Amino acid sequence: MASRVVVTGVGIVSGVCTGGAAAIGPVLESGRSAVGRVTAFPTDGLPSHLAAELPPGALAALVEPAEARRLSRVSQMTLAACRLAVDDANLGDLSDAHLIVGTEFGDLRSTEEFAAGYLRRGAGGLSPLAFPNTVMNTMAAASAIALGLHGSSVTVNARRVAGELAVGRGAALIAGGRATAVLAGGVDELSPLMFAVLARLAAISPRGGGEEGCRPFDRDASGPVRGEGATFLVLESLEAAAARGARALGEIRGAAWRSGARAAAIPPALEAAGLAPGDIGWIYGSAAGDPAQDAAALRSIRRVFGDAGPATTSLAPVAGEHAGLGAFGVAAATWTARAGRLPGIASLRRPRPAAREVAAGPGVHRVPVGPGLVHGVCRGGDDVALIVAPMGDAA
Amino acid sequence: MENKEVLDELKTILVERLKFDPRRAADTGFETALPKGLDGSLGLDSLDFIEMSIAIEERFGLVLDEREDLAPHFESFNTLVRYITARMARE
Amino acid sequence: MTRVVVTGLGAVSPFGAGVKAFWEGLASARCAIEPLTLIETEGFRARIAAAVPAAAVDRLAASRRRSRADRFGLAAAAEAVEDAGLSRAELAGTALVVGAVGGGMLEAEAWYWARARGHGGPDGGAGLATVLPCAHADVIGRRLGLGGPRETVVMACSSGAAALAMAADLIESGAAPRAVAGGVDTITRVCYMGFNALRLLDPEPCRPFDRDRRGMTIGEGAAFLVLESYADARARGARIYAELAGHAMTTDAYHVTAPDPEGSGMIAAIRGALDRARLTPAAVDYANAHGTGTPQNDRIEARALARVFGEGRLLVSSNKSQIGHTMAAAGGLEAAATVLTLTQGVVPATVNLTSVDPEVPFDCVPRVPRAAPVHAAISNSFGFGGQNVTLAFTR
Repeated sequence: MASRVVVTGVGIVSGVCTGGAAAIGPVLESGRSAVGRVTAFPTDGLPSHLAAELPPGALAALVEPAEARRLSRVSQMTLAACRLAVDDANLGDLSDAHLIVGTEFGDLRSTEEFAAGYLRRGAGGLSPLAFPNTVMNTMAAASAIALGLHGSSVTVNARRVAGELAVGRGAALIAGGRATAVLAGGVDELSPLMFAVLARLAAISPRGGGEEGCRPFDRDASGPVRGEGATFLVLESLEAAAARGARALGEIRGAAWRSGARAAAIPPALEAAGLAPGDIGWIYGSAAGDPAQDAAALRSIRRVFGDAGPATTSLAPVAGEHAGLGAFGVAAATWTARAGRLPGIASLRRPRPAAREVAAGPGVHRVPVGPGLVHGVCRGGDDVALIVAPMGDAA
Repeated sequence: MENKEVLDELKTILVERLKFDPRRAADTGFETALPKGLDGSLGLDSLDFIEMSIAIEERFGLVLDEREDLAPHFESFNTLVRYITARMARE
Repeated sequence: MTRVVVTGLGAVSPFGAGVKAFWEGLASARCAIEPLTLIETEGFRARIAAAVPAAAVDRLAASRRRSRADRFGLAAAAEAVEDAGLSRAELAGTALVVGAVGGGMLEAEAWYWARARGHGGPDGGAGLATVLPCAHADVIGRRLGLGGPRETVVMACSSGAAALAMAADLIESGAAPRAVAGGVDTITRVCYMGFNALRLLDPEPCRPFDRDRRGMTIGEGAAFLVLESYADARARGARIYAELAGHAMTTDAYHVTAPDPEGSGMIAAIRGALDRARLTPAAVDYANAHGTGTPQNDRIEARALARVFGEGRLLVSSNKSQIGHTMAAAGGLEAAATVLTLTQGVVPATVNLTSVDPEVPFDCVPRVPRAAPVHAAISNSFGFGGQNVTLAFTR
């Protein structure tokens, strides 16, 4: 018998807000965006200059110096967000909990520092302290130690959809009865080398020239804008949450992920949720301004919902593309499911004619209170569908 | 090399290799305990000591034999400075 | 509950390409550890490794433009699906779970090294496009037409084993009827330098469980297993090698590089796998050990085995004595070896073992492989930093 999966806590460390579940509504209502000129490192000579950075000093406020000394920056983000989520959930004992970290780039910054040490000074410049950070599971390993977590600690790597995948995996672990508490989410940081390479490879806006910016579904869309941060959720079985009197922010009614040319995760997710397409009132999609990716996402949605589907938005213009955004989307979904409000895409000026269902901003749209879809798409990779519903919804 | 010079080099290693805050490093002295678990110590663990060993080898031109039990020398800056100056005098 | 069986095997190992070469090497007690020429090793304490032979690499079908790791992965995955006799339609519904750590790091390093030394090279860093661990899954998935759930898991030395455990989860939950799962890794400068800097490598070939052991030896390769639900395997008349009867994953949460001296995480993983497999310790004939050859791991693992199985009786051996520690591929290669041990009735030896450590109370099959009926076996992967996976196979 499958266990029901509820979200009992949220922890967000991002350019646009830092905090627990209470931070979500205000930031989405405000229409704020963290996208701006990069200040942490020089971008002269590069074709791109925009990103959604963490505010300077944000991490120092969240991690004690003695702990921070032994944690790379991306691990600090992970731990800080996990702690915020655990506090938000008021979850005391993590010894049986599991951890799933989704990331696209992991700790590339530390890998570069480690290599640079050797190249500058030979064997004497090798840093044993830095070496563990060159493996992408360092964030999970370091966080598990700090949190005293002894269940499985898994790192999932994927382009674009690692955060959604991590949450989906976490939900599946609980639904399948293999866990009662899972910390699941995503994290990515900006690093000078990674930014420079992405810019030079024209993998970020403004590909092919044109104005730089994050404009999903816009005729002037010129590629994605990167962000950084970590968002983690506490997922629990309904029984465990009820037994300890935890407040449930929402329920993950179904989760599925598929790959391949005609990847379609929405139907199996709906089936697991016991819902029909008509029950879905709104969609948080992963469109980030890459026209080909955005079109693939719309096609996947249309195959299920037809041409006049539910209002569809994206949080990429708010906090930039990064693995944390997928989990941020699920957190936002729990708010939308209760509040019946969906933030429009503020940067959308000239919508492509085909993008009828896209919710343009600025401002927040009224949508039905009730179930909705968090949808992550990576062309050539996975299609990920998570059905999020408010608590107290009919079973 | 004078003991004070050796201590200053070790403080630099604390900042550059072990990522300590420069003010924290400046606050240390000969009497500062190093290993985790000692009151008021810098809280260094086994991985910190491996890093420190490599830095000491590079900085002072020594070769530390890992089969030798170096733990007693790493108890405080006092013991460490004395060990390094003794080794340098021998080379 | 859905039973998961093994219906295909594929491997690229330090003995060459193909499962046949792999098993012949294991069964003949050969040691594939030699002086390392793939990367510079001047000034390093250890300068040997178990590399895939150059002649075998040259003959791999995949294009030389691909990263070394992608070529290993493609060869092993293709062999596994052919071995399983899967049709295109069946492949379209097959999941893919890849354990990876280095990704295309070897080629990315070459680019970075050249850039650092002023040899130029294309500044765009196109060699970085395949650096991420998730690149293997995209390449393999596309080439083989796999369309089910697709994931890449990074769990340091346990990645390959974690991939098998997570694939089994997908089949047990009904998300896919079958999966291709395993691990891929190559020797990289970062990994080789890092383990050297941590003084965890033996300058001589590793000697697991030997009283005079001094450390690990690094290896490389790839291995994939086709896992399938028993019902689906029977329905299509597949040849069944063995059953993946149980699996468990735990985290020490003790230290980033050192295992918990009490071995509680290891014990929990072993017990968890046996419980899920409904096996009593007395029913297990053989443990394919993590057995890296470091003083710490072997002692703690032996103690954990003794706590679960009691002293004596259980046969224990380490494939790493022959193929080194193949990093993310280890869980896959050693699972394949365990399956073959079950089907061939021959237990590979722990080669290089001259005097068993008195703290290891088991018959470690020293130097000579042992003909012995094995009906149930476990395979341990206890990753760097305390990420533990145990798989239980039965015949």
